Amino acid sequence: MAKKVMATVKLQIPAGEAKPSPPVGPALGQHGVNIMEFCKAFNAQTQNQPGVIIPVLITIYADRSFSFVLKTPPASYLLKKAAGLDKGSPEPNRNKVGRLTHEQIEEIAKLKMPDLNAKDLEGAVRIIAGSARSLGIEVG
Amino acid sequence: MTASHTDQWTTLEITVPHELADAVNDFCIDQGSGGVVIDDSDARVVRVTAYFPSHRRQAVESRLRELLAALAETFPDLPAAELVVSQLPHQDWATAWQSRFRPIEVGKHLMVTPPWIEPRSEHRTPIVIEPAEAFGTGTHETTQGCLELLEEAAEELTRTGTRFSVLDLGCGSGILAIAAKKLGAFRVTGVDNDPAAIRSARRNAALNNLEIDLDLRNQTLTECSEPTDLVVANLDPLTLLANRKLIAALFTRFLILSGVPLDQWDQVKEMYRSDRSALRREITRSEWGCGLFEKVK
Repeated sequence: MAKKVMATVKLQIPAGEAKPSPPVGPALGQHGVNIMEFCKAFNAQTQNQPGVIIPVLITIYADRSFSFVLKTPPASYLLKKAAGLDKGSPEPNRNKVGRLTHEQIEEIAKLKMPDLNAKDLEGAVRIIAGSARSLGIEVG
Repeated sequence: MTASHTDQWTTLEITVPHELADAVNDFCIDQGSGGVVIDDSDARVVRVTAYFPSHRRQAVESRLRELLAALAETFPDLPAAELVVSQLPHQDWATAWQSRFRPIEVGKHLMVTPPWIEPRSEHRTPIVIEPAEAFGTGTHETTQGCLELLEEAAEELTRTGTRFSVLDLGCGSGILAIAAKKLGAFRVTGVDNDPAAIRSARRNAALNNLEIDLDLRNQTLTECSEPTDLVVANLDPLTLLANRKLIAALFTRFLILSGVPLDQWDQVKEMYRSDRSALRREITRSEWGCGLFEKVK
């Protein structure tokens, strides 16, 4: 079909838990998108990953139809999993809650590379290492 | 009071360097935002938007400010985070979007209507389409042009007493396939390479009580080989130009081409014109070109 893109919207939503309330409602509602259809389709595709936050990119076409793609899990999820943590530190400056090696950071950076706004692997590693420190995870 | 029963929402817009976005996203979702909106189009900063019922504003905002202060201390070299707080009245978002869709009269006898509106016209054939996950809600010029030309071709075939078959290439929501069936085609096939489109087309066929009448297939253009009286291809110029031979070989009476921006329409039109295929009518509306070709005997 002759698809002309009108807008794109990037969200992070807990798997299987998309609802018409915010953020989905206002983010898609402003473009006139069928919100229940999006919620149903997203929940159907993610219900087997309970507890995971799923980044999703929604493309809205000129006739207000849409399509969406699920992205790699957020770096914070991968970092916490690698460090064996449930939560990041609420005080990352004082209270360190875990440690990861440079190799582990690079591995996550490679996995996340396609979805990061980074020019090269070095840039991606910098972002992921920063994410680790922001969660109270030490690197090295 | 639960998040879904609040009258008023507090919107927190937090702009942070990319390195800090994850911590902020995590915090917002941990605190009960049902997700976050991410704008990472800027290479330097990410804008994270989260929503909370307004009665929780003070508690969440003060914890967020503590986190941002802790992050500023951990990353003294990065630019400081910015926080903008605003209010958003609750709406029934599940249905509010529907107000953007009204029945649309197309051509002489057709009317595209969403399923929640009972069409009133006695003189127009309703085509019920749920606007959803596939292109073809009926509001776009390329779809409307196809519907008009489809109506003209079907009228001509019916007038001459010809039983006719239709092939819809890239059927999307199924809107053109459904229209073809309602315009009298005895056999209608819709193909699309996107499984989501076929799911959507099947649902729309059912909304029009045509679930057993339409042959909807998840396949590519190159898998189509059966000659058909009327072929409709609302695609894009690249696909139309790259597959000209294949598409031209598929139709035996009429071919409708659409989805072509005006600046490329002449090129597409000339490629499809030949000693065996004449342009019968063209519609050029706003930015799009659309044409009805007829096989020359």
